Amino acid sequence: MDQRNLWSRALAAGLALLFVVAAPAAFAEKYDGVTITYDKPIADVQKAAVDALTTVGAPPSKQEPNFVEGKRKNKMGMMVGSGGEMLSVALTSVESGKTEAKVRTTKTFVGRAGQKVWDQQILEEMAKVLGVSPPAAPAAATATQ
Amino acid sequence: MRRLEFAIGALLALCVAGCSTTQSGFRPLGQTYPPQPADFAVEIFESGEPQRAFERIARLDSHFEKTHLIHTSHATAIAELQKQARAAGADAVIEVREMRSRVGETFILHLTGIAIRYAGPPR
Repeated sequence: MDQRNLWSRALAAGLALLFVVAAPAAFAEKYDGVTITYDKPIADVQKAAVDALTTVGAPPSKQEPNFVEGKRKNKMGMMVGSGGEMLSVALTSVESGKTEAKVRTTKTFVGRAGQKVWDQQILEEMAKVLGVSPPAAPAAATATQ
Repeated sequence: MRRLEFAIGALLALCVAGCSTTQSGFRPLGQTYPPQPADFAVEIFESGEPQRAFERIARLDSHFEKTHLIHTSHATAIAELQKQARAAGADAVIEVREMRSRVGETFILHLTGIAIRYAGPPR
């Protein structure tokens, strides 16, 4: 009887933990990254995106003229570890000499509890490389630099 | 008993290997150069620039992430930056920037710098 009671408690604790971990994702507003427009040509913004992803520990595995993507390595920890996020910057030429950049963090299943959104850090590093002022945190959904 | 010891050893090795990452590299800014010898002393200018004329040749990155609340020292990151500078064929590094951040129990240290080559005849 005691053992059954123990299993019931363990199951209840497991379900409670699952709720705590999964609830923020389930109830969060739909996240679609951050979009910002730079007064710079697409080639310059692409290089800045490559440097920014490298700086946050996601050296690009995919580099195209209008898209850069990298993944942060998973690391084991005492409790949750970190890493595993997919980071991407999609680029579009909007006017002569202007480029729209959409920065996005995608959390993955393995190690999700130790993952975070890196958009602001990426935008700050891109701003440093491009020599423009960084967007205020949290990054505006749409901004012009 | 030996199996248990082996399992504990394997687990510890896995933990040590899986709890830290180092990602370093360089991106040429134009013309590429052959690497410097392994014992070449790369100068580091953490502030200011050398008095001699120089050319910027690469952007350098050294990135460290360690879990279990373990820090990486600035000196360790500088040594890695010098290694990357040698690989890029540089004489010195300028515009060194340090960025530290934290995700839970993971401490992150990133150093960037610009690798340069002195203009004129080699030293």
